[in-house]
Amino acid sequence: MSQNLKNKRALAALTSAALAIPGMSASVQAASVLTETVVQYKASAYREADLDSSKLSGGSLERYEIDTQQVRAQMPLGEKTDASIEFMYETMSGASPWFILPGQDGPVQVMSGATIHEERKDLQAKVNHLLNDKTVISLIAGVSDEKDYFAVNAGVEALYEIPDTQLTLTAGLGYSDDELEPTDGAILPDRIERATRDSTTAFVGLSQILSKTTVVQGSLTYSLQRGFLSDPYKKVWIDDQATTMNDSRPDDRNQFVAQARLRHFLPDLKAALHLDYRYFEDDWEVASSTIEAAWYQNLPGGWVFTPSLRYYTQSQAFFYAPYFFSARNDGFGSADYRLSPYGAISVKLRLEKRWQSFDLHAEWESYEASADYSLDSVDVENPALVEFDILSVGLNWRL
Amino acid sequence: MRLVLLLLSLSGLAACAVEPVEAWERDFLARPEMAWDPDALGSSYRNHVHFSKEASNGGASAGGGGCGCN
Amino acid sequence: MQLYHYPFTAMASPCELRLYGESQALAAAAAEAAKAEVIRIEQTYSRYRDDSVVGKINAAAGGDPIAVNEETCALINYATTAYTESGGLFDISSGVLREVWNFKLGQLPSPAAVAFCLKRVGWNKVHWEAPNISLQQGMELDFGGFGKEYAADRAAIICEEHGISYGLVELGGDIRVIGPHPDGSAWQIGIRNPRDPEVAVAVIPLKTGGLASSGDYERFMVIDGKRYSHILNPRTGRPVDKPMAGVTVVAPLCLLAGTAATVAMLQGEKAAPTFLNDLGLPHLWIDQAGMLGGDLVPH
Repeated sequence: MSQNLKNKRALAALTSAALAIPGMSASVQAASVLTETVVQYKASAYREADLDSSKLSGGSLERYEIDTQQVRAQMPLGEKTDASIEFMYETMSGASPWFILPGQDGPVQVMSGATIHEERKDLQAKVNHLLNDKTVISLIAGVSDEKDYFAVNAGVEALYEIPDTQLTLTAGLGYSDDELEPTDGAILPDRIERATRDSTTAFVGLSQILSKTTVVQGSLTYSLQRGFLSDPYKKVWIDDQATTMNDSRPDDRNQFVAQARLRHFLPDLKAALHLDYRYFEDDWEVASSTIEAAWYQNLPGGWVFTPSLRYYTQSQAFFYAPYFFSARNDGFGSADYRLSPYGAISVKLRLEKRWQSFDLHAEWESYEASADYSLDSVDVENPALVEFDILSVGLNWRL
Repeated sequence: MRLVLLLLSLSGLAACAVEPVEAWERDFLARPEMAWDPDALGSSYRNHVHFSKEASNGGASAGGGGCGCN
Repeated sequence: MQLYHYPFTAMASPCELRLYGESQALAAAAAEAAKAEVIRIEQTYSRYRDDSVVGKINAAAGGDPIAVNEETCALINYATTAYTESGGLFDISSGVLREVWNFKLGQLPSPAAVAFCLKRVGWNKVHWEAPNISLQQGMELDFGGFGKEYAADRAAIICEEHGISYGLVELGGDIRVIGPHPDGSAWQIGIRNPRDPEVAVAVIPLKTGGLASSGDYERFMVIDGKRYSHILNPRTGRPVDKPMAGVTVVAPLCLLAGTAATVAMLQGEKAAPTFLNDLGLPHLWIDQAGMLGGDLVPH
């Protein structure tokens, strides 16, 4: 071995011996568990814009309002384990789209007559355990409860830093079991009384450190939903029979997601750029793309200002139409705006102030869906496409 | 599926441009605003909103359940 | 953001923390914690204290092994690696040579005295099987060769953990940068001339990492016109023949910079430039004639 190589090897040996000293590089280890307890709280107000009265044929103009409160605590449990628990409580009120009628100047929406008042509680827990300094294994469990809906979910995730590379492998498996008991299902003859669905999800991801300031991640996710996937509160207008039928969808759905994410830090500006892209497709023929960009700008005095932009575009499900001239042969049919072709643009602004053990932030988001924003050309826009604003305030407290 | 191929080729491209980054040089990468999801509550809230208003959902997570969203 | 200075004395050297903080209270809290860490390391590894880890190991020489904690294990492992990789030049058991090379007396020891003393020197004679260490009778360990650099790294990490992103730690000439000035510009580190300590021979810009210097300007003796440096070669038991006058190394960690500078000094004037070049770390040397070399030489 040449002297040169010998000295290079010497430096590598010294470096690894130096980094093996506890506390020498503690702040930069990727595979790690939390060493402090963090408590977070967030309150959000979600407001949907009223429907345009020209697009309304019956029911209430007023759409959804949701007030959400979230609490999360994450704490270390010994040296190799941490746990987080997250509770979400929301109250919802408003009218929801029922079905669509053909009108003189295009389709018009019929809204549900009564204003719905509902609440939802969701509890999620996650335990992360460090198997060794390269491997973290996580267990997830949760329940979600509404008057007409009950879901339990469980999952397992693993993270592995591949030695001598700058790659981190993640993988996970999740399962959710949902039960529906639609309001008035026992009274209304054409509404289902009780139904179930389940969903199984598997993903693999790989992240790569490209430089001191750049890291990228790619992931593939597959998800299978089975059971009653229709919306029990929605109907579809069948023109030649001059009547409505229940929203009816296939009883399975295979979904596939490919996602790429980038995080880049600009030391001179003390700013971080986030770029996320997600491609989604399923066997209902829905395909969508989501692009999200965020700029985290650190400012003097512990302030962080984050503007972000999100663009979303989707194609329609094969059994979707605002209304049908005649019933489909396969019996499926849905006029749900969520299965219609459209695009959406949302803008978000976030301001955060950091203190030593305390952060406060406020966020405002404005979201607008429209057929005009779709990448595909859309013949008929669904009249129920949403437009909403979200205002949130939150605090993080490190104990 | 074309997009998947694109993703794979992009990650292949990325692999060529990797610059060695030692553990002690990862302080920028370890900053809170460089996390995949810097705001845990914010991202679970937004996932829930988008899940209930759009046809697509999911991506690199084994958590969460459904909802009877209208 | 404001720059705050916190001078203090530790490890028998003038030290200073220069921290940019959102407020004086935040900077002061970080400085207190960093200072406390430096003092903790000094007290834990001082060879002058009977109750220190090193004091206990030395007192137990020739007796039962002593079990040490995780931090000490890692430091001893580091010293072992440095010993192996430097071919025995970096040796934390070489301190006893000072007993025969008493620079204050101005007298050369007899070759027999040196040979006798050398029997008590040599890391290969130490029985080290983590976490147990036992020295042979008469041997002593001294963490002085890397303790100050280690403390500089730790102090910087403590400051970072207290939310300081911009600042530097200086412990008696050994430096670890926490982060550049808030505008992104580098700290300008002046390197003293070993022959004329009031004059800087070079100014090195540093944005990250550590810097450490080693030189023969601190202690030496001249007998019959010959200069004997205090840089003692643990293999021969004698001062290094013609060492560099000074060596400065820049590395990601102050600890690495310090070890590289120490080993380069022990290499002597002839071998040091090649050793430093091959190591691949930015460096600067000044030889006995006052000549400058290395890739950090100002143009």
